[in-house]
Amino acid sequence: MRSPRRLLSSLLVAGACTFVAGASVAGALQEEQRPDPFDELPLPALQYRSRPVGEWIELYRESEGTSREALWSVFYWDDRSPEVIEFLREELKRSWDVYPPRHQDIVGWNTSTAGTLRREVDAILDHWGVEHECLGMKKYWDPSMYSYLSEPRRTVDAFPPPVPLLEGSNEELLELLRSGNEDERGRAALTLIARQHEVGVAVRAHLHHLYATGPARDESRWVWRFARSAAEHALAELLADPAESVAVKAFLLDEVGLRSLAWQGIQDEHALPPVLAELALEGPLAESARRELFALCRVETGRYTLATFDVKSTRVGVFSMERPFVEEQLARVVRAYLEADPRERGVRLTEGILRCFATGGDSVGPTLADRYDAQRQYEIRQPVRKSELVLAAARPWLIETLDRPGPVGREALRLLCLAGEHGPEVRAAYRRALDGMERFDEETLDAVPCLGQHDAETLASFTRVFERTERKNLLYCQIVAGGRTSDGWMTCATC
Amino acid sequence: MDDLRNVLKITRLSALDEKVLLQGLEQGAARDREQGLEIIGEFDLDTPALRKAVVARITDCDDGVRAAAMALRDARGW
Repeated sequence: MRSPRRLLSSLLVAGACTFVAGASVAGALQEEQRPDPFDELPLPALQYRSRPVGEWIELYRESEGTSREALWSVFYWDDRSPEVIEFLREELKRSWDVYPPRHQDIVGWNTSTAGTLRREVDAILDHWGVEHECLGMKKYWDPSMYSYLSEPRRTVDAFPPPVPLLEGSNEELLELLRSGNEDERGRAALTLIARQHEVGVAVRAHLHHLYATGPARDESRWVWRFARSAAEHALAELLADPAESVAVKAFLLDEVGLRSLAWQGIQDEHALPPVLAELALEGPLAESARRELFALCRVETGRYTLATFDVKSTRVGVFSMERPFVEEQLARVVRAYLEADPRERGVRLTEGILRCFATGGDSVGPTLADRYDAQRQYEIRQPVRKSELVLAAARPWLIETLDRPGPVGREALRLLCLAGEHGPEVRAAYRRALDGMERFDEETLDAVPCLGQHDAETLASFTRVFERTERKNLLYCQIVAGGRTSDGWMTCATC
Repeated sequence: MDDLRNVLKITRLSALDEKVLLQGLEQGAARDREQGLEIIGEFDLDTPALRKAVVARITDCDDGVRAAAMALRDARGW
């Protein structure tokens, strides 16, 4: 490690060195050109010899811990006497008392935000190899709420396991997984995961342990964070294993909340959607798994974006990349589900699609029009509209649903129109919908679908509505969608 | 690991830093292990213990960590 004095000297003579020529010094110059962390810092301590170290300490104290020059002058004196070290330790402690950390301080550890030079103090102590408490977050934060943030971040015990791990060989631990009591099984699983030995087996054992003992949030969180894709694979394998009991699967999907944890894994892996697709086809978990798939497909709606933007905006982008894959799985489920009993299931699923997208998976909830205003409906419809795969699978049954009275029929018509459908059934439903309109206010006009291609009859129906309303501007989208503008080639880009 | 990265911007790798880095690579969450590998690459760190830890991560249970370790090993020729 280069001493501060040598460092300073090398900085001062660096300019002179650049004038030295010759092959023998080329290597040295290359060495100097390598990024040096010290060089990047504007350390205002070149005059450190102008005062003794004691005066710099006094100056620093007088500045109430804000004079960077005084602090770095102490550093450059390289006086590691007990008095100086005690001063730095005290300063670190004082800064936490005077400037308790706020959330942004922890995330960015930004000294200017914190109003203190504790980062530099900590770095100096560390550079000198002095044992000290790095970040005493527990003093200020509720560990139950901020356990991850509140751990000391740069100490040798910064990565504690969630429970005391077991001793013993890997073979003994594997034996405990088979024959130990429930507590031993749980701890043996965590120990094996921490040792990265037979992780898949251990994660599966951990999931079974959760089923037996009930949710354990901290342990689960640790397993997911530690093993990440391996845990994701293990969950996927368990869910897809026909030998596993349905009760365990249902528990993991519905009760423990592993769904949200698994979603984190999806950021790296594609394991869960195919498994959900399998489960969604048949069996007691079908409804639940379909709900998960619909929810996954819905994540890119404006509603989800708003919900997660403030928490972790990067997730939105990640899920955007996932969507085509999820859609593929969803379309597969839709097709397979419908093929088993087209008529009965077709109507039920069409209704289910409408309701799921409207309510985030609650298949007994109200429909879009009952629940949300126009803007929210627009946001929710986007995944449906954009998902050609889903629409291709559901199109026949959406057409069958056109005749249903009320919001379900209207929603089916709207979705088909958005998908560019304009066959005879759609045009007939369109005429019925518009001819049956008795009010022409804002709310009612919003329900007029964007038919992509008119014939004389549909155009007559639309013209009647257009002439009757005073809010003609509200029908702009519908006009554009039908190519009824002076630039007839225009397409509807806003609905 | 974020704090370690911040510290390494203004100081050289100390013994404590190396300990924390090694522990993070061994016991940290997958994201910590990944960040540890990033830090080794970013600050051009190279000690026998770190080399050993990087090579050990080539058999990591997490795909992302494994890929990062292999990339670092290939880049450094370890």
